[in-house]
Amino acid sequence: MFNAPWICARCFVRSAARIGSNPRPFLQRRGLKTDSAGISQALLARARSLTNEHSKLSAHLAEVFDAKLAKRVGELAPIASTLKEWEHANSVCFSPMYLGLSFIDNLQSISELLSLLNDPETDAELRSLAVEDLESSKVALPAIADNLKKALIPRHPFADLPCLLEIRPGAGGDEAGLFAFEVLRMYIAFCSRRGFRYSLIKQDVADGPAQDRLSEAVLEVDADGAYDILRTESGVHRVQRVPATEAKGRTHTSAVSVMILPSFPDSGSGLDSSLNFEDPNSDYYVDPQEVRTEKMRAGGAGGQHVNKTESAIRLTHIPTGTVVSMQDSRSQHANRKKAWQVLRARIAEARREAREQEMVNLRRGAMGGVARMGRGDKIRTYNYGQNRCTDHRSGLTIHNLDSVLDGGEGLETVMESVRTWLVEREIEALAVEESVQDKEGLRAQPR
Amino acid sequence: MREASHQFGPKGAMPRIPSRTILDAHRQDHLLPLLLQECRSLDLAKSELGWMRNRAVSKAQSNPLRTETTKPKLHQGWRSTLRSMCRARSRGQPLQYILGDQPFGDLDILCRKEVLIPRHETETFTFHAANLISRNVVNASQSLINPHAISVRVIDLCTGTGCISLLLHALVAPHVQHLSIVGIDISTTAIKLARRNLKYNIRQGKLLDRAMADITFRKGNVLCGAPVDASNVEQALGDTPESTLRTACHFDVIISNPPYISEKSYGNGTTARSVRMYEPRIALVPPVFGDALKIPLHQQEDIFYYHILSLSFKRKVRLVMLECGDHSQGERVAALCRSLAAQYLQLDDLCISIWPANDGTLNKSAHEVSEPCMVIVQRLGLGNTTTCGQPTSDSK
Repeated sequence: MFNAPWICARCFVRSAARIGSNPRPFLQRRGLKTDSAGISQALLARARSLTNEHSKLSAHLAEVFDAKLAKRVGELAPIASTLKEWEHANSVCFSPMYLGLSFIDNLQSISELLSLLNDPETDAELRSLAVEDLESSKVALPAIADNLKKALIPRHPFADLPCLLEIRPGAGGDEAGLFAFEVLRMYIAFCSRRGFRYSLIKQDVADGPAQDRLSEAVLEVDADGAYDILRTESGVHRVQRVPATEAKGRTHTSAVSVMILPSFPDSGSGLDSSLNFEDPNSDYYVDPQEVRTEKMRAGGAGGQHVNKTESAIRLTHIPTGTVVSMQDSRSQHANRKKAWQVLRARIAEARREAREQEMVNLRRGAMGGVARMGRGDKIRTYNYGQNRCTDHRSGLTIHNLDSVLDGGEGLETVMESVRTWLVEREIEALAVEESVQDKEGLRAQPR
Repeated sequence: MREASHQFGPKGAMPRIPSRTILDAHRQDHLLPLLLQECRSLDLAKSELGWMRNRAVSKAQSNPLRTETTKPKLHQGWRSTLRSMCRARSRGQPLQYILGDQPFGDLDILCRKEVLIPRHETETFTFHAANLISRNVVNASQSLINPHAISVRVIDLCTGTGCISLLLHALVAPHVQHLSIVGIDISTTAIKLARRNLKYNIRQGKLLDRAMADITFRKGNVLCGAPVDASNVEQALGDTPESTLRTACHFDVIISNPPYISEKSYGNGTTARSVRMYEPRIALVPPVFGDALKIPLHQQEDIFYYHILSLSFKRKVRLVMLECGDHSQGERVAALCRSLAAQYLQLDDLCISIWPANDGTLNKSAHEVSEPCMVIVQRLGLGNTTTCGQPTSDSK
C-alpha cells in the first residue's frame, strides 16, 4: 500500500483524515460520535446484557416475590434506566450505521430525521428544527454517558457498612506518633462535622511522658455507608514539617498509615447473608476454631484466690497470623467483643484485597501495569512549611492546610476529588476487563 | 513434694519490680509507681490509672456542689480524688471497691466492702451456663407440644453481688417465656447489694423490665442441712433457710460459685494479699465444723459442694453447674457427685463433665490446670439426650 517501510503515526492520521474528509454534515456527526460515545462497545454490551437481565428478572418478580431477586433488580434498575436514556439521546444523533445494530426500536425516527437532513428538498425551517434537536442531544449526551459508566461500576461489597478506621505511625519515630494523633483528631472532627456517631475503640499511646504519641488507634465510625465515604483515605499519609521534637529547625518527613476496614453489623440485623459473618458459607466467615484466644495473665492460682483487673485479650488468627490485642476496657467480655470486631474486619479486608489483586493480575495482560492504590502507597502529603495538602492520586493541591486538618471543607474537597478519580479508575479497569473477556471469547470460539 | 510446691510457688511468682521499671513509670506519671506496687506491670498500671482518671473526672463533673461553689478548684478536685484513689490502690485495696463497680458481661455490677467482687472466670462460666440452659430449652421446645409453656427455674446459691443471676437473666430471658431466678446468700449485706444491682441495671436499661419480677434474692444458709453445732455462726445468721429452699418446690437448674479456698491456701500465699485484706473471708473459705468427719469428704474446702449436690439429688435438678478452684478440686467434686449419685440411686442417667475440658488435645501448661473450672452435672432423660453430646471428657 505504501512505499515507505514505516510511516509516522501523526502523518498517517492526517492523511487518513484528508482522504476521508467530506464537506457534508455527515462527517461532523462522525466527529461528534467519537467525542461523546466515550463508552466502548464492550461496556455497552455489558450494559445491554445487564438490562436484559433486569427486564427478565422484573418480569419474574411480578409473578413471585423473592427478596434476593428484588435486591438484584434494585441494583440493576439504575443501569437499565440510564442505558435507555443514553440510547434515546444517541439514537437521535447518530446514524445506526455507526452505532451497531441495536437501535431497531428507534430506526424509524432516526431514518426519518436523517432523510430529512439529507434530502435537499426539505424546507429550511424543518431542517433547522432537526439540527436543533441534534444539538440539544449532543449537549446532554456526555453527561448521560458518564452516568451510565458510573452505574456500570460494580458496587463495592462493603459500601453500605459502617467502618473501622485504623491509624498507625509509620517511618519517622516520635514525630510519626505525634502526627498520627493529629490525623486521628482530623477524622474525629470530620465525623462530628458530618454527624457520624463514632467511638474510639482502641488508643495505644507510645511509652513516654506525653499522651499525644499514638502507637495505634482504632476509631469506629458507626454510620451506614461510612466505609464508602472514608475508603478514599486508605493508604500512607505523609507529613513534612519541622517537628516539635526537632532542635535544629530541620524539616522532617514521616508517614502515618491509615486503613479503612469494614465493620460488620451484629448478626440478625437483617442484612444479606453474604455479609453475615456467622454464616459459614459467607466469604467473610472466620472460623472460631482457627482463632487462638489468650488472656494476658500472670501465673499462679486464679478465681477467688486473686482479684485480677487485667482484662487484656489477644486474638491470633492462625492461618493468616493476624494478631489483635485489646485492653482498653475494664471488661474482658467487652475487650473480646471489640477484638473480634477488629479481627473480623481485618480478615475481611485482606480477603477482599486478595480478590482485587486477582482481578488486577487478570487485567495486567491487557493493560500493562494497572495503577492500583494499595495500603502501601503514599496517597497524600501534608506540608506545613508551604501550608498545603496534596493528594497524589487526584493531583489536587489545597493551599489551606488547617481546613484539611480540622476535618472541614478542605478535607471534604480532597476526598471528593479522590472519589471522582476512583470512579475514573474503575471505569478504565472495567473497560479493560470487558475487552479482555471479549478477546478470550473470540479466542475460545474458533476452537 | 506437692505440698512444697504449694508453699513456695507463690513466693516465686512475686518478684521484685526492677528499679528501671519504677523509674520509667515515674517519668510517665508520678502516680504510676504507686499503682505499680499492686499491679506489678507497667501496662496494667497505665490502664488502671486511665480508668481511675476517667472516673475521677466524671465524678468531679457530675458533682454539682463542687462545680458551683468552688469553680476554680474544679481542676484540682479530680486530681486530688485521683491521688487518693491511687493511694488506696497502693495499699492493696481492690480497684473495684475504689471505683464501686465491675463490668460483668454487658452489665455493671456495683461492688462494696464485705461482698466478693465478681471474677472474670465466673463471667466466662456464666456465659457457658447460659448457652447450656438455652440449648436445653431449645431441645425441650422441640420435644414438647407447646413451646410457650416452657419455664426455667434457676437457683443461684452463694450469689454475692447477684452477678450470676443478673447476667443469666440478661442472656437467657430472650429465649424463655417463664424464667425465674432465685439468688441465695447468707450475708444480709450481699442480699441488699444484689437487690440494688438488680434495680441499678434495670434503670440503666441493661436488664429487661421483667427482671424485677423474675429475679428474687433471699437470705439463706446452704450449709443448714449439715450436722452442725448450735453455736455455729452461720446457722445463727441463717434465717430459717430450710423453709426458703422448701417453699421453692421445684428447680430445673442450680448454679453456684461457693467459697472454695482451703484454709491452707488461704494462709500460705496462694491467695493474694489484697484479697485476704479486703475481701470477706466468709465468701472465700468454707467454715470448719467440729464434727465434719461425719461427711465423707477428703478435703474440708469441698463442704459446699457436698451440700449443693445432695440438694440437687433430693430435688432431682436437671442441670447443676459448680465453679471449682482448680482442676484437682473439679475432679474431686466429680467423684463426690458420682458417689452421691450411687447413694441416691440415680447413677444411670447422669452425665458429669468438667469445663473447660482438661483433655490431652490442648497442651495445658501447669498453671492452666490451676485455673478455676466448672463441674457440670446433667440429668438425661426428659427428651434432652442430645445436650450431653459434647463435653463428656470426664464422664468415665
